[in-house]
Amino acid sequence: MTGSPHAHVALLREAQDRALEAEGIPMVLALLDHRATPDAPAVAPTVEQEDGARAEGERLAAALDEVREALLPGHRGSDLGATTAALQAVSYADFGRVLDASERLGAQR
Amino acid sequence: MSGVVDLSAGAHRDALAAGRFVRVVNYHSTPASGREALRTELAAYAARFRGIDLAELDGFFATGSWASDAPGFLPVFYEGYRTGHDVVAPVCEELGLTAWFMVCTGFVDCPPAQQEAFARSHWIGLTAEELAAPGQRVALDWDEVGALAQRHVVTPHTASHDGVADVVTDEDLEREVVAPKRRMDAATGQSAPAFVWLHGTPYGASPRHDAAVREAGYRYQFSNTAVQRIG
Repeated sequence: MTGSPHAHVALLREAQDRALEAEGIPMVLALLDHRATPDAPAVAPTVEQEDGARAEGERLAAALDEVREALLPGHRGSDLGATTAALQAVSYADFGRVLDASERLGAQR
Repeated sequence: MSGVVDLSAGAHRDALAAGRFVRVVNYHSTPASGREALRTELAAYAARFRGIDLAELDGFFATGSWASDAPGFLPVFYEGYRTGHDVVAPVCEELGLTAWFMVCTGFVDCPPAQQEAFARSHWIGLTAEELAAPGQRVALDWDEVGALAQRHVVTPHTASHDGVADVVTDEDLEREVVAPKRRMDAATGQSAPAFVWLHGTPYGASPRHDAAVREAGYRYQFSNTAVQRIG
């Protein structure tokens, strides 16, 4: 996922400007663990996954960094709207585009 | 329980980089005329990714590992449309997928003659097909909710399709957070596992709302950017 900021805005448009009331909306969701007990503060589960899964996650994380920086450089990390938009774009590029136009729900309506 | 929940971009990034992520595809209306298109789209996803059921999601949070190396995904269907039973479930069952239904319980409770007005009052879109016969039932009924729960995940998306800004009083919390779980559990004979606010507000945005969701007995909150294990 490389290119100018304009290319990233175009990707965000492509991800968002679809018939979202009719098409599936692809998203990659983080798995966050907020459980806590007095003796065991909230921690994420230990991941002992194969290298492939971790590499896939590292690729997605790098894409998230790149898209956020391209769309809203220097923007505060606590802006959940910006994180959501960046994840939308990353998700769409990651697996929303795996479907050919003929496969897409909205294209057949 | 700490009131501090890290929802920053960095927290999301770190989860992804550590392999703590899942792909989802969110759907809303799925009219009967789009059944084959839906089947084609879901089949394309199913060819590339592996459907995840509740036991596997629970297992991930228990062990930190998935049951398989193959990337997983969740097809998620919002609002509680009747077509969830008539269209989505048969397609998902044909493809061997577990569907995740996020149901507005007030939509289900609403008399069919009032469901169009309820939908128009609560940000629930209806298709031309659903509007073709005024007064027909367009939401799931409770028998269908119970039937879906035998093969799929069915869980509340508030009663009235409300967001946190709409839920102010204790009475609001009871109606939109607590009662939906009680009603759904009675219909399914199970414990509804997850809660979703309108607009996908995350756990961690409001301590009062967080406590209500947690104390109601939900163990997950789905948001726009995360699946959050909360209990």
